[in-house]
Amino acid sequence: MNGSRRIKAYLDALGRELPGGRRFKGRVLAEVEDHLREGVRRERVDGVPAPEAEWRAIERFGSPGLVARRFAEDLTGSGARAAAWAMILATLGVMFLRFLPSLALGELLGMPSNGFFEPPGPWPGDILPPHLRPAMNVAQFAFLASLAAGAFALWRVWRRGWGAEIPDGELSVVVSATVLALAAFAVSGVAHTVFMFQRAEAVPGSPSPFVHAGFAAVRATITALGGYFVVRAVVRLLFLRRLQANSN
Amino acid sequence: MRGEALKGHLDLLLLAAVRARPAHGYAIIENLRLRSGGSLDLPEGTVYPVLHRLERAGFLRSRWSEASGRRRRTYEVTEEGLSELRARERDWREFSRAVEGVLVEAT
Repeated sequence: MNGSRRIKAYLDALGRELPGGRRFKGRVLAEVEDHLREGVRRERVDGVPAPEAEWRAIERFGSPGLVARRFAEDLTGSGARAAAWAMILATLGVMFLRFLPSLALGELLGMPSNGFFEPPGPWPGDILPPHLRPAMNVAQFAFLASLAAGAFALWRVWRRGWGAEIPDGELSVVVSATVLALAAFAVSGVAHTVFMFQRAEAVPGSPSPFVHAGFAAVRATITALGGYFVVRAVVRLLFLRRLQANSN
Repeated sequence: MRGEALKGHLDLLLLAAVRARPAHGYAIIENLRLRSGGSLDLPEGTVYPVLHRLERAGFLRSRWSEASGRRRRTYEVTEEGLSELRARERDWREFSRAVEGVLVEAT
């Protein structure tokens, strides 16, 4: 194998083992290539033949498995932080949707003080189907569980410093709480929308059903995005941990 | 001194190595080797994850440049990195004095 093929083979092997996305890998591989070629150049200046110079540069750099494992060790901490931030941001997004339109936006648009989606009373209180009431009541404040779980995860990462990991046991609790909270909020969104549609039919002066449909769609999108980012962060974290375990 | 023994001190060493002037990965490692008289010998590839972590932490910043027709990433220490370096230097000197004290008493 000639020299540049040897470096290329090394970079290919490292690219396969490195954790992270394409952009991250691209940057690392460019840096490593520059490093190896600089090492070869200096060996050649000292009169070392090309194949030997390339072999030495690669030998000094360390095996692809070792380098990938060190990157995985460092990225595990940031993966844990990303998971925690995803939980917090997903929750804040849901909270934003829950409270802003019904109060602040209603105020802004000069709607009655009881909110954007609240038609002038009196209106019957038993419009919501009975089987949906418990789900809606429970889910109304389910985001608090998600917020608490995310805050707990961040606090643990902060306590342990930059190279931190969230222990597996705690991570599963945090993730379960967050996913359940998001699912509960999605159920509450459906229940709330059903309620709004039924009330719009029964109570004169209610906003158009299309307003509710639009709001429900935005709410569902934010909830789904929140869930997606949480799951993505956790999957990435688990991948990094598996890579570490396999390399040890 | 081999890799495992160095691992806990790499942050301090790398920040110190780029304190004087910006440098690329190869030059940083060479700087460490020369200044330690060859004692700080570790697999060169293990330095890059630490450089990346220090950059994510805001202690280093980096940029691409061109050298010998190749793209090269150059690192330099930030103000925050300098503060961190001073704090770690203080800790290290305290630790070193304490260990030295114990070793002298033991002999």
